[in-house]
Amino acid sequence: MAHKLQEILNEKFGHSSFRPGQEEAIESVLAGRDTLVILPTGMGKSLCYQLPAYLQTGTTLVVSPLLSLMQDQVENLRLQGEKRVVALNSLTSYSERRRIFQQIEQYRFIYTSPEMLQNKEVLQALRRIKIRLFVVDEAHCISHWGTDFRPDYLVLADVRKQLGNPTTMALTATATAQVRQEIVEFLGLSLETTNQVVLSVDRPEIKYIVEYCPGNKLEKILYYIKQIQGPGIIYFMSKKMAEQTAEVLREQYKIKAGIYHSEIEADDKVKIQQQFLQDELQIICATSAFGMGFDKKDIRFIIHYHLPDSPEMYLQEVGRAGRDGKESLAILLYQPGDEQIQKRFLEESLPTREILQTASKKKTFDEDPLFKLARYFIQTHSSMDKALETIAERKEIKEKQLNYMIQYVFHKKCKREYLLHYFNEEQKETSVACCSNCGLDRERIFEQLNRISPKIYKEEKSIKPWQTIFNVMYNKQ
Amino acid sequence: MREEYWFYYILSYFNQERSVTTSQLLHVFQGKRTPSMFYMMEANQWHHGFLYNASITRQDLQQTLQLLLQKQYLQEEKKGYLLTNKGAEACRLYFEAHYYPQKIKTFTYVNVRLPFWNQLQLFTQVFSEFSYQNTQYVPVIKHPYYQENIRLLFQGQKDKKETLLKQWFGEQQFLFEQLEERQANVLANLLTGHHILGETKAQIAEKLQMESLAFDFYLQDILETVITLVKKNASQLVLLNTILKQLHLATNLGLSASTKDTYQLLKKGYTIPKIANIRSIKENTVREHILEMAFVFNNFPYQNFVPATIYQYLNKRFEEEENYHYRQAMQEKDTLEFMHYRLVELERMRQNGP
Repeated sequence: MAHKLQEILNEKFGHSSFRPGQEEAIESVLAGRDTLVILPTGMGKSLCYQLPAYLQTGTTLVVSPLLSLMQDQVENLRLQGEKRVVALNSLTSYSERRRIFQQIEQYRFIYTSPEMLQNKEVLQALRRIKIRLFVVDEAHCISHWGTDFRPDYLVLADVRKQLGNPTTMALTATATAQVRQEIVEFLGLSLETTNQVVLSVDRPEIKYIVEYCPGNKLEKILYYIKQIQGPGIIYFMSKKMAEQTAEVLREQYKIKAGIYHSEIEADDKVKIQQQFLQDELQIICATSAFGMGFDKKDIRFIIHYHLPDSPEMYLQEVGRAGRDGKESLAILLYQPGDEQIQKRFLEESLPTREILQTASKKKTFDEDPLFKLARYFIQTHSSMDKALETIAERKEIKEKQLNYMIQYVFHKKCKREYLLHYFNEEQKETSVACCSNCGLDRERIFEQLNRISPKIYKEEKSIKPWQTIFNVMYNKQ
Repeated sequence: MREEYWFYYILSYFNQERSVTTSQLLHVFQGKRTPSMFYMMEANQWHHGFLYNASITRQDLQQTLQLLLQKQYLQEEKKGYLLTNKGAEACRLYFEAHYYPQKIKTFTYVNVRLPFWNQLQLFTQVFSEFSYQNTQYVPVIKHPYYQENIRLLFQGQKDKKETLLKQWFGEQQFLFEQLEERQANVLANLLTGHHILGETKAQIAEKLQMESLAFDFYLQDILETVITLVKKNASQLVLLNTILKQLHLATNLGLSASTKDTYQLLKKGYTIPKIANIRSIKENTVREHILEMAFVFNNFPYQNFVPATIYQYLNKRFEEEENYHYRQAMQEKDTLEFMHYRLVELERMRQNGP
């Protein structure tokens, strides 16, 4: 079997060896065991469910929370030459859906959303085929205590049952023990028999720095960008701030910086990603909308302009650096008062009594996530007060997560150790160049980063004549 | 910069004679489809603002209006605002140095502009990659609707792909030759293809030293020009015209979904009462739908919807009196319907200018 796995890994995915945890996860589902996979960001989670599909007949059904993520995953598989893949979601037109249903047994991979699985017609079509593997991507969405709780994920246990309890693989990058337990329970799996492949969230190649910035964050950003020539992402909480910073970097400092947030139109998002991938841009100023499903191996640094809301979120985002396994930096800029922004977001992310009341009266189905959440709390509690109690509990958890991040900023000892402690992990090896509290030599690391990723950005070009573009665009026409 | 352009763009909606209210502006940007709003937009040539931002709120707009009042560019007048001399001068000076939308003169293509642009981008990429025999690329448009349209075009034409590529290339070249040089260059630089990643709107705007919002309007103008050219040159641009036709139909021919349903029934020859009955709507709603069609379509058969005697009478009265009002007309002709008056008025406005 090991030989066969290796062969497919080479042939279909172009890799010569497995990354830690992948082989174990694959062998586990091939043996028919339900499996929970916790692999840190950038460690190749998708491969864990994609590879088994080439060793079994039947369909791999992948439940994914975000439309854009789903589209990216489908495109990535197509780029690998996989034709038997389809996305079935709210963007799929009626006629296209009909076509998919007619040939449903032909697909090796079907990507869908939890909302779609509540549609009777979709479920009926899926029941006609053999679901060999039921995959729940970003499985932390099922947990009340996870950072991105999605009530729609709670239907998955029932869906699984209706599909004849296929072997299930749930995957996420960062989950505390409590979240892991909830994932297993809420998917209707057994805690005793579910195999848990849990890898440390630690990525030793990423070095942590916290910068205290009393009103000089832009200065700090410029300092790092001038020192590090390789590609990087700067994360912001606000779209406006991301735009303004990118503009300053471009106009005043001639740095090739792009912007990415939820309001950027879909075609421009693809262009920005591609420009970044192909080193036409050095920096992306982004909100958290950037990164999921995006894989650039040589990102050398991630700067957080604002304090992230939880250690889970922070590790997800900094995990986008150093996917080539080489050194990279995670820099958090902090200025007093930053936590207030997150506290405001936190207040706005949970339904209040007024919202619960409005949601309970409103008959129409509202797509607004806050209303969806409110409706969920109403439906699952016997009274408004009980619902509010749960919401208060959830708020408390979120406050704890945020407080942990604030403490991370002020933690005087090893930053890495402190982050790992949140996930009940201990650092296996201590390294001298671990973080800004462990004697990280900035000059040395800059030198090293620049050796790994030297400056290669193409020069700024003016608008080209259309005839020149057409000459390149169309071969021999 | 975006805020600055928005500030003057809003200012450009005001004049010194008739006041404009916040609600009216809100209805323009949100795309409200009532006969009175269509009339107002047509009379003021505000087509470029129609449906510009469906999610804009009254609060957003009021913030800008407050700033304009503070600068004394506007003054309050009843429930609305009038342009001051200072405001008129500031607006004139600003748009002497900045782009102002100028090509969109109808409502016909409001729904199809963006879908057509998306489809054009994807077709270009697909044909470009095909010309290099490359199948491994990331589509610039990921929405399945546009991908499905491409699949449908190629369905059963596998052997003819080379022919289609030649046709596409020929048509695209012809189209770009018809555009002004700058328009053609801008559009081409936004396209994605083999070895070409394409630039974002913000990146092109920066190179042209345009505010991003001004560029949005500039691009809309280019797309309107492209669509008009595709329509005008249907015999040379067969493939492009097929794509445009299909998308125009899929986007309700520029109408609201409900008006399109009424349109289909009208085409079958049903009368207004019959349509109202079939659709379980009021007859007046059907009349409003007919008016919407008149405003949206470039060629509307006005006389089919106005009795000949009323049509002649109204035209005569409009000739006699420059400001001939509906109230007056109603007193003179008791069988007159508002729809008749507005249709004749619109036809005359289109023939003689607002």
